[in-house]
Amino acid sequence: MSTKEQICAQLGGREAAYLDSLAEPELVQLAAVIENAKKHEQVMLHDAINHALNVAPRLLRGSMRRILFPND
Amino acid sequence: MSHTQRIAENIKLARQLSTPPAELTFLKALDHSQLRQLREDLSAAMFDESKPHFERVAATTKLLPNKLIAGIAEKVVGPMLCARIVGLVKPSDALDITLRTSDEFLADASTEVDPRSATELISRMPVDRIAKVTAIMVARKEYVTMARFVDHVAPEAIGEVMLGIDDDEALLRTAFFIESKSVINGLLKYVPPERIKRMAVLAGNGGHDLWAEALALMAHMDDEWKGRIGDIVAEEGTELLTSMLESAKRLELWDSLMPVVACMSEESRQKLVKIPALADPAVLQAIVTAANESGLWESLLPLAAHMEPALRKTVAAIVEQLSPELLLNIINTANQSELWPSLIGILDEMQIDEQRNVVALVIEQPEAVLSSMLQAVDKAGLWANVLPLLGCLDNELRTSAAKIVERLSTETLLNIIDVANDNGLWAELIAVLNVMSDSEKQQLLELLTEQPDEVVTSLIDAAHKANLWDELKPSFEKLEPTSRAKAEAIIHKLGLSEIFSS
Repeated sequence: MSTKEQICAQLGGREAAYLDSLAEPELVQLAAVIENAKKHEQVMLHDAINHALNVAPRLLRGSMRRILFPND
Repeated sequence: MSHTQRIAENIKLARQLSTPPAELTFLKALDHSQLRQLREDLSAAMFDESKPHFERVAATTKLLPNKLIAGIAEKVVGPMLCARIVGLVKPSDALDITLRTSDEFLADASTEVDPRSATELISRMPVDRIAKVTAIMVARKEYVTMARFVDHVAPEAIGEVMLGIDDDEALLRTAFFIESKSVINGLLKYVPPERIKRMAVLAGNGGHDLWAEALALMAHMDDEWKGRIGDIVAEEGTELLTSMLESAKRLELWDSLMPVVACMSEESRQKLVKIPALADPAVLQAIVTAANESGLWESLLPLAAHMEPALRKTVAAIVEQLSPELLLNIINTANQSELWPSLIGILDEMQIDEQRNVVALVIEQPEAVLSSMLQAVDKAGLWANVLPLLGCLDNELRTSAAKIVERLSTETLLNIIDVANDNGLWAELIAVLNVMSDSEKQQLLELLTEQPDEVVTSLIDAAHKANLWDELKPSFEKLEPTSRAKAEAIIHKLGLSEIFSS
């Protein structure tokens, strides 16, 4: 998979023809920045979900997580 | 304008990527629209990816009363998750739940939400609630967030909200990030003139340095507003104009500033060209470069008309270095925007060789262009500037120029004769006359000899002194008897009888 294809995949499969003016080193940098941003977003969401589940009794948290956030 | 838009888009993309704007310099090859597309695709991808996580949570809102959900949302779920879920909830329920949460919570969630996912909810939100949440975001300096919502809130509601915001800096900074710049003109009617003046002064205040924001805003206003605000800045005086020019120089904002300058009044432009900062050759070079790159000659040419000769000479020296293609662009702009007098003003200050190059380009233009130029020259009384340009041409170009002169009306030719007489430009006119076709040359000579004696005397005297008589003589000999008699009498009176007999 080329770096450009990798970025398109990061963008949910969207065609990113507007990135054609970027050279390979810039595409590599962009892919890395997007990867970091997505990781950051996932960590933030995960923390937010944990924070939300913290109000539930400890024994119920696992079940609630599976019911409410099955993909987390 | 694209430069300021790019600055704004770079900041917004950096925010989406959770990275400082300076870290994105490797994307310099992308323009503002490409950066925006990247941000929108990324935002959509991130929301799409998180969507499956929250569909079940969204579904639970159907099982519980909205009042209870609002409490859980604010106290348990939190703003970040709510921002992801809100677009998945039925809009009427989402509105009811949202209205039951606190202003602070709504402000927190607003910074996290993609407004496109909650368009219906936002459009149904009561104005007083938007105003309260906006006040919190203003205090938090959440300019990017506020700008993102502008596209989704009715202009009347934004107008009401703006009235409640005292912070002019917040308005300017928010406007900088608005994506649909087309809404700006509609919103301006909600800003009283005195506030616009205050904002212009604020932009130039050294402590704020908001010219990038102000110019970005002005770039998207219609011409009337550009002119009005440009005039307000000029009326405020040299200090504010200088600060505007310095910022444009430092931030390379000429592509935003020049269209504003073009819409200013004559009086304001006259003030602007007297600002010492404009006399800096580096500034003028940057302006000319921006004019070329962004097609801003329509803005720059009128400014040149107000420049002192020394300043115009600097501009001319820069224009001299341009390629024929770029010079052709300027000529086309002068033609399309009726700015020939301004271009001729620059041409006047060029070196002779460069003048020749430009005139050669002009002469090659279609007849309609030349006709428009000559009409403009005649109307603006610029023959005193144009005749020397024709005089400096080589024979081939002068012959081409003569063909244009041949097509001029008698009225225009009389104007040229007056100018040649008043400004001692007979040699230049004779040089053109000598390469005209025989019949046209004869007609012009007839017209010349019909002029008062002092004019004909001046012509013959000048032709003699410039050693041009030999070329004129055959044509004089073919004059109508009355005209010839008049010319001979004047030659005799001048003591030059030998020039006819020799």
